[in-house]
Amino acid sequence: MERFYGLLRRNLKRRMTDGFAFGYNIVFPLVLIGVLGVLLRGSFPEQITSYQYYAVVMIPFCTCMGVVTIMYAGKEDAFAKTGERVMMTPVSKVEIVSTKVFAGTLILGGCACLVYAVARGFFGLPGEGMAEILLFYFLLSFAVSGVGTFLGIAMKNFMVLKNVVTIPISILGVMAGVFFRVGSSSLVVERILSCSFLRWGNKALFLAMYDGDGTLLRRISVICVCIGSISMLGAVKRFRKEEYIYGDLPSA
Amino acid sequence: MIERNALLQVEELYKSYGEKKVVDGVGFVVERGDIIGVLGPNGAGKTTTIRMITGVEGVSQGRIFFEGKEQTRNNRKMLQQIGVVPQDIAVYSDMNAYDNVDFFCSLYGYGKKERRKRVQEALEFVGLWEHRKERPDQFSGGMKRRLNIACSITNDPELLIMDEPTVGIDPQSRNHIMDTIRTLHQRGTAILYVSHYMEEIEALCNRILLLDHGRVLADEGKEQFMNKYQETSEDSLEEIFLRLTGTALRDQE
Repeated sequence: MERFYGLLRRNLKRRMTDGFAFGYNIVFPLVLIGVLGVLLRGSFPEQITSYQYYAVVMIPFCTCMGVVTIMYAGKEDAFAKTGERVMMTPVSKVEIVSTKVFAGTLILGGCACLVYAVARGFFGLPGEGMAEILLFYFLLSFAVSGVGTFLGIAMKNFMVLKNVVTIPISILGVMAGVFFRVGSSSLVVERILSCSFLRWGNKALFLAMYDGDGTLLRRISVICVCIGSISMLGAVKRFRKEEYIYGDLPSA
Repeated sequence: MIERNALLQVEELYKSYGEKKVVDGVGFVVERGDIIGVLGPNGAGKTTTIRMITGVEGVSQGRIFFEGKEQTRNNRKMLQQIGVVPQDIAVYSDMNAYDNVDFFCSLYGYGKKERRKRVQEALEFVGLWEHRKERPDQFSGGMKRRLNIACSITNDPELLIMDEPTVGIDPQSRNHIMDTIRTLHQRGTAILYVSHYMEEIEALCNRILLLDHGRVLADEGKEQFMNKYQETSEDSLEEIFLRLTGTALRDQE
């Protein structure tokens, strides 16, 4: 287990000192909640403020955007030129992949919980179902870290991928009402909108926080575990030493 | 056939990238107590051979034995017993010297208490204990090279493979590294030493393995090598090397 802990410590330390992780997952969502909350103040029904709305929808969205940070984490040993040395020690690819996923989960989940705590303190988010909600943030982070590690470690064309991966997440975010509320009386449009998993996540969070109904949140949490596990297994299966060591770096 | 006293035995190793043969039937034996100088111009297949031994590169054809056992690409037991000093300085610039060595030591599975002892030993051995709290980006070229070595010896390896460990450093640091290698050898570590510096090979090694175009041109004890290939008694190793490998420029590895 020492190998696992050694790699996990290294990955955690790296993520904790990574300004991007904290910028994009703490500062960015809080600024967006504040700015959008001010701009759209008064345009929400009485039982919810604009700040509360954006706090609920912004946390999962920013956690999903953290996939780029995790993708970079998959490549950092190639960037540091230490990948070859790591591969020349008796570590396994399971240890390399899993520690990257778990470190990403802890950091992204921790950031989400911190933003949630600030939002509760400043914007009065209800405390209903808090344990389930915090667990959901960690499980969503697990799914994101699994997918990010898979894309960062197992896929070629890293530089292209990391530029385009935020586009579908942003589209799914718009469909989920992250920047402005969207909805339609058209059944077709509603069906298209419900293709966004973020929409389901947001709906589940609102139900858990405001109606005390955590059923949907639990189901989505299970789906997150499945996505994270499958992606992690995929990353182990598709792990290539050459890709991990040399990667697809800007100078290549 | 497996050599009885072999620590490492490489048999008919081949590696191709598409049509290009990089390693073409390389075979040699490392015995305990050996310190073998591996020579060859750029593109001779030295680094690729090392990468195949350590499993970083797959083998197109051929076999590798360590302590008499045939190795697969993911043989963790063998990797536990060997150390590799890579050609590039492979340390993390965001961690201090102590944490770098401690991290790589942890990859060999040692617990905290054991690591503390091994990390201190390794850093003292390369003369960096006083600088353990400094980060590598504050180090001179020679100090970085010494840290590179420290990260590779915490597992007390039976075989240490060094791929050009003295590139681009001053004579004092080189001298220190040479002394370090001699001490490791005296402690019983077999060493496979890859270098372009002929004087280092002459000073350190008891055997010479000369590679070119992916093939073994010569594999002899140092004295036998010199006697066999010297045309006059004043021929240096470099002159013999150039005679055997030619003077044409090699721009690729």
